Amino acid sequence: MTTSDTVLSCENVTLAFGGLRAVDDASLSIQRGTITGLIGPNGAGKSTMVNILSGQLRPQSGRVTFDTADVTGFQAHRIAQRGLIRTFQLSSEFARMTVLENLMVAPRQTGERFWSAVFYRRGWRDQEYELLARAENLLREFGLFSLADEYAGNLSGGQRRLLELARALMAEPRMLLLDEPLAGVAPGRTGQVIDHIVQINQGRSVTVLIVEHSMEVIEQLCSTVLVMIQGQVIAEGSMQQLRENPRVLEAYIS
Amino acid sequence: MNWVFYATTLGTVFFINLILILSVNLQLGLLGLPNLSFIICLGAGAYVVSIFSLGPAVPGSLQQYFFGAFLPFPIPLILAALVGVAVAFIVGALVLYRMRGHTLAVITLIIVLVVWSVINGTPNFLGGANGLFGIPQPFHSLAGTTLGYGFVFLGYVAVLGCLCFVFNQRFFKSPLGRAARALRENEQAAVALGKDAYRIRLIAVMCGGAMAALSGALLAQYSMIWTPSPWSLDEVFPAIGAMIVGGRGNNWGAALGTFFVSIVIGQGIQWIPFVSSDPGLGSAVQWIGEGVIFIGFLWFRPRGLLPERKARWDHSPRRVGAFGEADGSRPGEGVRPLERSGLVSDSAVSA
Repeated sequence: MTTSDTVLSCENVTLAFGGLRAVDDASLSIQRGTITGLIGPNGAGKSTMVNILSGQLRPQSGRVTFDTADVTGFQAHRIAQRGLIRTFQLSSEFARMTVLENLMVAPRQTGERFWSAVFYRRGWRDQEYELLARAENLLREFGLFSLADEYAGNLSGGQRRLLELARALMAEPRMLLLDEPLAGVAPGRTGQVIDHIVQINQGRSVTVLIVEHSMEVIEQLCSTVLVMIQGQVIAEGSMQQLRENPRVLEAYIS
Repeated sequence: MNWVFYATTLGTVFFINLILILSVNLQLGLLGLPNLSFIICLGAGAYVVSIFSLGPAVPGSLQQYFFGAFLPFPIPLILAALVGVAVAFIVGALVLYRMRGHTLAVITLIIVLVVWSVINGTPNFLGGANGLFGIPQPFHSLAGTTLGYGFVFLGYVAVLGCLCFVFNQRFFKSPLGRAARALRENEQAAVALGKDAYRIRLIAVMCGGAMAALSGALLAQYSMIWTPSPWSLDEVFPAIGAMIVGGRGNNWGAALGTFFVSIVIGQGIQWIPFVSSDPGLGSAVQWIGEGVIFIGFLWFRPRGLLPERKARWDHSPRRVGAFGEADGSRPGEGVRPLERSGLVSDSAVSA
């Protein structure tokens, strides 16, 4: 079911840890421009799947395709450089760096080459100012501007989540993989994070795959939802359709 | 006269140590890499500068080494730095791909012990335990007397020390240094943003290797003798300690830590009355003193005398925004930050 509008897909991917097949012959495909949800009970293999798609783990068999290119077995940083950026279940800010600096790390830049960094600063100075301007605009958008010079480690749970989203956007992704982006956010603040995810998808036309436990959030955000159970993707559709799907019901009830 | 000699000696020791501690700061301070094999690079630099300036070994003489050449001044020093890079590359390529943290420290510690034992126990290779002596010093024609030469040598190490300092500063303040710090803070997240951890680590280890080798080469030239003891494991921990005392990740801290450990403690010990009368006691008291101070710093002030600073951008338009916020208006409304700060025209003029 791979079509020309598929941005990320995997076919028959398997990864076993010892005797446990965390992901077992799973296939999925994600349409460009959508917000797709990935749900499933604990231990269904969602996080392993995200780790395979983003290159943190290498599948034992199967194929991963991103933007028509086969990226199976690519190292994580190479997949990220192609525009597939992920976030983590545990917030992963650079604690002893300022909020602004956290954002400045994200883009791929000339000044990361050794010779340019040390011996030819003029080669990256202008780019640095452009990135600063972009980073500051993003901080404004996410309401973190007044914290620009604060150490990221001093932020609250919700602010860290926003920072992570802003940092991911700074890398100019074509697609985002959000692994439980609401974990650690105070209940009253989740709406803000959700609004930003919608804005990222619609305003910037970034495709989003989101792993989340809360069905309300998934229903609110996602047009398409994938259900994983025991390492396999067993169903795909809108929440409405999934509620009527006997396999899904069975898995969630049993 | 004596005081002047004393001061030049201390200055020379300071700059030679500074280069080594900058190397440690680049690896352990900036990247959090506990790579102890920098001491092998220090030894390698010293041996290279020795055998390339001592001339071919004379059969039957007291010191024996496997090769020998007589090359004019800057070449042995450059070769020393290059060999330092090569050694760091070999060790780095072997260990950096899979190892982190404590594992890395233990493995590089073992590598140090193996290499050290092999060289110490092979008399014909690089002098073995006897070492090498009579290592020529550069720029001798510039000064007639011993005192005069002390100044010349001080100038020579000061220039190289300052160059290494500037190198480190530029590295730390570049986007490359920023990516390195991100790797230290959270490797997984930095990789997920597209940073190649292996490449960045290897670059830092190779630059650190070059600086350690340079420091060793200068030390060999200064003392004119090179044996396995100045690059033994005993020398690893004072270097790391100096960086911790000064402030990891801050080059000014590295300089302050160098001053504190190699000058204040190293020399201060000699002024304690009961130590100065008993030469054997000196090194023991120094070890105890250093140990107590390092542990004290780790306990009470782990970020050192001069902690790593927050990143600042000189002409940051942010300050304009901050003032805007203070008087109630929304910052950056409708104006691009580059234009507000005048950066656009600044860079246009300078370009």
